[in-house]
Amino acid sequence: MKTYHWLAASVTILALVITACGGPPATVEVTREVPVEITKEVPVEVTREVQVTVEVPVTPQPEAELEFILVQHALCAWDSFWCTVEQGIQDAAQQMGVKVTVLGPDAFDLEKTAALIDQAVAGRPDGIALTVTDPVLFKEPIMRAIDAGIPVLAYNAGAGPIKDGIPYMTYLGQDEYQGGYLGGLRLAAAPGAKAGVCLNHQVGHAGLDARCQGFLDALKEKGQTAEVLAITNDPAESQTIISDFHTANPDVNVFLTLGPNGANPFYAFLEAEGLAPGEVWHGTFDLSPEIVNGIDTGVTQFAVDQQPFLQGYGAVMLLTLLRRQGIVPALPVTPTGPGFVDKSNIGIVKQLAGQYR
Amino acid sequence: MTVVTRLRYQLADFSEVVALISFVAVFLFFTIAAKNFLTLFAISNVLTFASITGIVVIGVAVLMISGEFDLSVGSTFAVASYVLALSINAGVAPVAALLLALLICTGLGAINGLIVTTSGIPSFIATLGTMLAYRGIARAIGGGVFASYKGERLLLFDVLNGPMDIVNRLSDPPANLRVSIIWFLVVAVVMSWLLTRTRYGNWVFATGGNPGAALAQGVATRRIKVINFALTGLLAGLASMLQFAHRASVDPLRGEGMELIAVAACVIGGVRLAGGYGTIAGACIGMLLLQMLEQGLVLMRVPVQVFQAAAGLILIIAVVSNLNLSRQE
Repeated sequence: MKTYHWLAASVTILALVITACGGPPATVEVTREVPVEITKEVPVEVTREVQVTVEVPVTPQPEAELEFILVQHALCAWDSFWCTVEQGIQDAAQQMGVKVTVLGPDAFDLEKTAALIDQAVAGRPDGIALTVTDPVLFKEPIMRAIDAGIPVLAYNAGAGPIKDGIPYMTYLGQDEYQGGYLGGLRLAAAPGAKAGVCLNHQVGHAGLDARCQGFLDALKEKGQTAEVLAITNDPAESQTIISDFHTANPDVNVFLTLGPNGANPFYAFLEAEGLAPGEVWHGTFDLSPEIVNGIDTGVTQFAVDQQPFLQGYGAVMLLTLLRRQGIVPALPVTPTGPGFVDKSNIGIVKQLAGQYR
Repeated sequence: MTVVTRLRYQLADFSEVVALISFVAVFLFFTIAAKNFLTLFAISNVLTFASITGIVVIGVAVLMISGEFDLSVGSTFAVASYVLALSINAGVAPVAALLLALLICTGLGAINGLIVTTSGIPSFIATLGTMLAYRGIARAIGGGVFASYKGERLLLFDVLNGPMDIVNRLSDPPANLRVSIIWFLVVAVVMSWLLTRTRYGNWVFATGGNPGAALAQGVATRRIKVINFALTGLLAGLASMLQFAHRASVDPLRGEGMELIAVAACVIGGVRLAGGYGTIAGACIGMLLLQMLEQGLVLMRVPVQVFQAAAGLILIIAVVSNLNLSRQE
């Protein structure tokens, strides 16, 4: 019996030991489908900045009597912003001893403006400066001027000869989209800003549309809603449109106007509704005595200044330098803005708003 | 009879000759006073720009001869371009879009005619109302914004208003003649023939000259007026198509003020405001004179503010001289 017990115990222990040290643990191989990325050659579009050769066939004539024609899409007579531009034009003409004629339509009419460009070309002036308000519509008459050997430069409106696809000398003005975008960021950061509206008084003007687009993009980036509201150049009509919009959209408290023709009816609307600064946030483009007052009283947070006097003065100056000394603008865009005028620097421009600023 | 009186009697039958004399006088003035006026480029500018409004003027002239006014032509002009732009952008075939626009304009004109003939409201007032209404339609369908066609250049546009490059290249720099000039000429010749050589034309003069007598003589004055209003709408639409074919963009204010330019051109051309008297040739000369005025003043470097004043002055001179020179005593 003892042996049997020993044998059973040994077998049991042996079985246990064998089980315990049965070898390395079993590894299970599991195969699963793994998606494999196949990289293939994809043609990539490479955009290169094409240097547009702007031929300016001009022999310098230092003593020449010059006369230029400037064609604008608006006039001082019905848009006070342009009074500053025309002041610049007249001052430059007087100081440089050249003759200038300013042409423009009686209302915002791009078709009429294009026709005026053609009529100006017939006059064979020594140079033409114009607003490239719609590069598609104006390309044909501008090309006619360039083909006729008349130096052409753009002021106030345009994006430069490369972006517009028209080989004029240079664009003297501000980057409109940037102005709207930076202005939009400032307004979006105002306390309590919820939703915004861009009051466009000349829908169809590529530059003004770009300002609104910049503003819309800035507000969307900050998580706010924004839209464009078309108003007109008639102040009473515009005030009614703004008022109706406000009644229908009471939560919109950020307003961007694009010039005195937008700001003035807006101020009238604020007064009529009795809205105080802080209830609505307002930013605008350009300066005028009313806008300067708005900044002073805190109604308006800032004005985006494109320095219109420089636009008018510079246009005449550049054409004169070209004709007299053969001097050519160096870059396709000669910026005059955007600059921001707000409470911190309003003192500089206060006295001159409407005339030189 | 003195020479002057005899001349006046002779001129009474040819009101367009008076317009022609004014035209030649202004032409000579600009030839002397404005540099570069007598160039193919400047003259082509005048012809091309005058041809668009000129087609509208022809319609307005026929209507004025039959004794009515249409102040809504500018608004109809805008509606036509919007219909064309929006239809083409929506994928409608260009020719179909064109026909749709023309049909709508003829309809708008016919509505004018029906309002005037059935309600008895003076056409000046009735079309003042439709001017605002049709402008509202243009703004509504366009959403208050520009409408443009930005696609590939269409053959239809070249047929309607392409540049006449073969002729343009003959001058250096190239001139600015466009096919719309030919359309203007064709419409002028056809309407002139219809007015002077057909019974319809006879009835138009009768309706305008003495509606009571005409009606008594069996002239369908109502029908003539409705037809003329529809015709004015159609021609405004056609002019709009031609302008769009050149610059493929339309804004909500397109054509504003066109109605007054059209009436001015007609009056300068010898068409009588009271009706019953006038010629298509005279109205065309009036339009060309106004356009020539604009180009000439630009060439003379006159400030742009003077344009309207100059046009107004010429209008008054033309009316006074038309009344004096062609008065039948």
